[in-house]
Amino acid sequence: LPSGVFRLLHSADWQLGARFTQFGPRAPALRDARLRTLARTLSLARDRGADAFLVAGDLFEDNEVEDRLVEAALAVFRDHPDVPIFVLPGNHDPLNGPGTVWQRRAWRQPPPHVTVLREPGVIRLADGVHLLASPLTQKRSPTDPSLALMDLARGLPAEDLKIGVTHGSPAIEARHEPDDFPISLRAASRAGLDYLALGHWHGWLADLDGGRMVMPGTPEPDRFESDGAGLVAWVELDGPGALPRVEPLPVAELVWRSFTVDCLQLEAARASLAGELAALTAHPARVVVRVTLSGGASPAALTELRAWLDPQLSAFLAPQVHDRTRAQLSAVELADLQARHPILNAVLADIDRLEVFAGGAGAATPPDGSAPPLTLKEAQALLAAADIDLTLLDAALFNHLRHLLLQALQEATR
Amino acid sequence: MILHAVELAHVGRFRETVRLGPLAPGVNVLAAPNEAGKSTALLATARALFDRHSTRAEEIKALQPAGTDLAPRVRVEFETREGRFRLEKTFLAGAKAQLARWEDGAWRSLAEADAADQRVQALLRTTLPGRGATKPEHWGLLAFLWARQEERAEWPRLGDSPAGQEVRAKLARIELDPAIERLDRALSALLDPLLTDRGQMRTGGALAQAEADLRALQTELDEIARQRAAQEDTRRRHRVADETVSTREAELVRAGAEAATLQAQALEAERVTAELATRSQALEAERARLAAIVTDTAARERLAAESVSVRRELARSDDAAAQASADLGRARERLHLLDTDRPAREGELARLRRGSQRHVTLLRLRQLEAGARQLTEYAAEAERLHAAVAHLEAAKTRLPDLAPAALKKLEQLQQTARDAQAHLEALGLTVELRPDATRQATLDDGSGDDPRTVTLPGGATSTLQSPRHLDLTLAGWGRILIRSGAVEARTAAERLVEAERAFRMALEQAGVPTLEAAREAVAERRSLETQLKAANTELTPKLRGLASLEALRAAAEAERRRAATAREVAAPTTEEDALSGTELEATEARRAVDLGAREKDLKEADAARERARTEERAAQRAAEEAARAAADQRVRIAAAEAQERTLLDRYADGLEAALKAAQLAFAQAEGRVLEARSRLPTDAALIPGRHLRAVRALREIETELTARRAERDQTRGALEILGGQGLYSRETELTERRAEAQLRRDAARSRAWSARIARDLIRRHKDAATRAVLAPLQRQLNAAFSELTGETGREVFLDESLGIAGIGRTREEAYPFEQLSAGAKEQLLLCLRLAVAETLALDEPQVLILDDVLTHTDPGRQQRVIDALERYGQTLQIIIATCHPERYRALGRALAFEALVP
Repeated sequence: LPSGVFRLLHSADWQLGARFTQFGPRAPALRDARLRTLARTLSLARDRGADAFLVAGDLFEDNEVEDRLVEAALAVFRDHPDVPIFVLPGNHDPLNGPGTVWQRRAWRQPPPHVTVLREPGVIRLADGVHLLASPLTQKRSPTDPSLALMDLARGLPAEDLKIGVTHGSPAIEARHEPDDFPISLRAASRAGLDYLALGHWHGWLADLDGGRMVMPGTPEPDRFESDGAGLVAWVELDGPGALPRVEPLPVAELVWRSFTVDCLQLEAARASLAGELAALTAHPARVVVRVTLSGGASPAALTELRAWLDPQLSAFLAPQVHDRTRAQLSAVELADLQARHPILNAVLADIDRLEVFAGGAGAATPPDGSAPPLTLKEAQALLAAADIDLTLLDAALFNHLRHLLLQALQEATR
Repeated sequence: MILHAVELAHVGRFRETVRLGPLAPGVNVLAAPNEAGKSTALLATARALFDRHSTRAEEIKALQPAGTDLAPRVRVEFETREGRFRLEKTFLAGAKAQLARWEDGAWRSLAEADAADQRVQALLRTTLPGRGATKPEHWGLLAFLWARQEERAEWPRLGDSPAGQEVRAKLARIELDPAIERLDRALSALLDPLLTDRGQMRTGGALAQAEADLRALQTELDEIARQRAAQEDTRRRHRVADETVSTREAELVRAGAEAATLQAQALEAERVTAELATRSQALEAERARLAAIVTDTAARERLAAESVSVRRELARSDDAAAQASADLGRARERLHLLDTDRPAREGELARLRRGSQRHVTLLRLRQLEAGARQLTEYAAEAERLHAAVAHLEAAKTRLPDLAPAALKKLEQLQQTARDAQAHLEALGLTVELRPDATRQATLDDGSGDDPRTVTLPGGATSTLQSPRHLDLTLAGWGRILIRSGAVEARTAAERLVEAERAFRMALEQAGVPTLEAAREAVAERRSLETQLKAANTELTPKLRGLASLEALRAAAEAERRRAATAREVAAPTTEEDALSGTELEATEARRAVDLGAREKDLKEADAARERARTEERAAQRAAEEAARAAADQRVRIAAAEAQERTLLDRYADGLEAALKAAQLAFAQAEGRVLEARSRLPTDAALIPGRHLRAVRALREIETELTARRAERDQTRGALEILGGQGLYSRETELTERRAEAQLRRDAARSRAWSARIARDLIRRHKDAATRAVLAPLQRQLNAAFSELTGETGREVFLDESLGIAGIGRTREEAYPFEQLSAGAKEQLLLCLRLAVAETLALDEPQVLILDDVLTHTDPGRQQRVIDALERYGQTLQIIIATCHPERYRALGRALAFEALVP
């Protein structure tokens, strides 16, 4: 081995060009972060003296991403000419015929240090070190792509270091789908590989086949629920037969954080959230945050909460508020309402009954003494003038309706 | 509010100052002809009460006297629960306003100019438009209580104007929640930019904009989906083309190899076929040569056999010639003997024939003579019978020519006369009866005999007679008694004379004196005719079929002459005459038998001769044929011998040696052919065809391969171009924008629907509250309606806006107000105004102004209207303007315009 140890930076699932529908106009910022992370990771590989930089599939989110993105990715590669880069097509960017991303003009003459592993084969990385590649040519398949690695390994000397790379689902019971490229949990040892670099799932997975199979996950998280995302694998191979040393390296630029505020304990929850958000304010442009508001509160309290929360979140890269609160009146307020505004009281009761009729959870258990449930005819009669389809009414709308009414009443009586 | 007095100047036709009033608290009737200024005066009062004094709107200018610039001036004295007021307003030039209040017996000025306007507005709770003149909806309560002439069938529905709300609140006794009203307005303000009143998205609103953005984005996404589908189709075509190219390329290699193999096989087959053809030709030559020698050998053997056979036939021909010659000699000898014996047989036969002829002649003579005698006897008998017939004919001629029919006619005539006589004698009564059906009658003709029963047939006339009277009892009818008359007696006498005259004329025509003589003559004639028939019957066979006695006589004479002539010709001898006929016939019979035997004997001798002649001719022919056959056979023997010699001359070494040499050469040639054929494939003939097919298939594969390669390359190029378009990235951007637009849309829709539902529910509850208190007003309205129309079976129903929904037995079956007649509408609205005014008057005195509103009401209802107005006049001030004074005569106080001295 060149220096006694072969060093490898194993990454996968960059998903460049990924879609972030829920963030609307903020989505391009999330996409741009991935390119920056790629550049940073390559610099890290260079700095650590990596002998190879592996992309184990899904560099791109889709074969039909725009040319601008393809060229931007290649530009990042060109900026790191001293790092040998090996890119394997995965199930998102498979080599499935003409028109794939790998046949774009930009890829026809890639930089010399960049190799696209277009077909199953063996590439000599160094003396006695071989990279065995099994790229994907379709989006789904029940065939284990590591089987090709067995054939490739048979022709290689036993004393050489053999590194495999492919893309698929480790065949863990109840975690994989049969037609999603299932890979044997002994794929590395079965083919006599010293290390098998995998890609496909987006969370870190390293304890496979005695530590010889590693799935580093996506280097940049793409959801709030990402488990172990944001890592690449730094791999050191001492020689044939020796167990690889694998180190997870955090490379993600963005932090995805999700908080819940329960209005039942409004003040405490608000204080807690304020603390959490304050901790994130060091780099607000790197934070994707979601706050879920739940529980019932008075209209005034809810209005005040939103008024406080919106500026708190505005500095972050991609803030989201999921408002699942329910405008509620206290017993005193309710009694006052009944006494002073009987019509409004009756209207609120109608709204409760409509929500029950529409199957809303908010009014699932009507209080004792309330009016009986609506019949379809009664419900339709209530909405007849507005000409609104009952089936389109959801809990959010009923909450909004109550909130609107109570807020408007508040302003009217001010 | 009620009015006390109105003064006008420079208003319409009133160029001078006129006064209307004082007005009573009850009913006031201003009756005047059309164009008298009634409506103008009321309108000017309204303008003074409700419009700004400073307004210069066209409606104000319309008050000016036509063609003048005079400034309209109005003074109104009115009273509210706050007191009695006097308002003076001058419009247009020198516009001014002054409000005064009656306090302590004098008018005290309260406000002037705009302040006066505002004070009156507050007093009457009216509103002002932003600019221009007021409209009835600004007039507060009078908008509802002032039935204007031109709007007699209209009712201002209670909208959300302050006046409408006040009226509604007053009528329904609802304490309106001002917060709710503000809430309603706030929701409407929120809703208005988003949805129209009918629930449609407001153009340009946030909701409509979001929906439009969504539609535009969806259109772009659909286009991308279409491009994706096209791309997928291209990908599929490329895959198929690529697979086909691979398949066809492999197929092309296989087909090329197969075509080359078939070509080599075809060339080898062609060469062997040519060699086989050459060897087959040689074999055929050897076969022909051998066949010729075999033929010659066979010919030689045939000639030798034929020679032997013909020699055998020659010997048999010679034997046959000798046998035929012997047979001929014997036949000629027998013929000679028969010819010699024949003349004697012929002579004996002739003699026998002559004797038989004589006997025949004699027998013929005897027959002729016997016939002549018999005919003579017949003629004599016929002569006698003919004389008897002549005698009978003469007797018949002497009798009168009277046929039995004529006699019957005479008898009838005599009977008719007798009947007439009897009728005359019996004449007394005659009754003709013709019943419809057969009837029984009892008849008493007065003769003293017992009454008799007669049957009167149905549909026929029955005549009943009696000398003097006829007592007739008809079954089912009763008794009929008929007495005699004279006319019948005269008619009967005339009938008798006529019958007797006819009878006498008939006797004269028959030539008999009496009917008895006629009967005797007819009997005598019948007897003679019977005798004549018998005599003629006897005479006819005696005539022997001849026509008459003269013919019979001529026939007998002719027969006698023929018999005499035959005797002269035969000239029989005495001995012959002596022979009896029987003897002649017996002799002739014997001669006939002998003659037959002789004729048979001669025929047999002739037959034997004929047979001998036939045998002679046959023997002659057999001898000639045997000679001819022998000559022919000798010629054939000579020819065969010549042919054999010619055939043998062809083969120098002899025929057998030549045959053996030819057989050997043939066997060798046949071996060579078989050897060549064994080398030829069994299906050699099919190989060239297969080769051609293989070549054609090769070309077809090449053609398809070219096309498929072109398609593959074309689809590959298309896919590469499509791949470079970045469809996914475009779709991603659009999807994210769509998500944002959906959020906007959902938020706007949530706002709009929430506001709409909230507002609708609020109004629904307000309407429900209104409906809940409508009942008292509705009862008042129905009381007024019942009083006005006398109807009790139908009710008037109000809606939530206090408009009239309809009239009927139930709300659901109510006849809509809009479809009622004009008369019904104006009466209903009068009722509603009376009911509303009476309700409002509970808080404050109210004036109800009816400006000529009952134009369609019939006289019957008019009286009810007067009754009602009189009753309501006890609680309301009612001002009626009308051009029909007769309709309201003696009702309330009569008003008139009173000109005031300046």
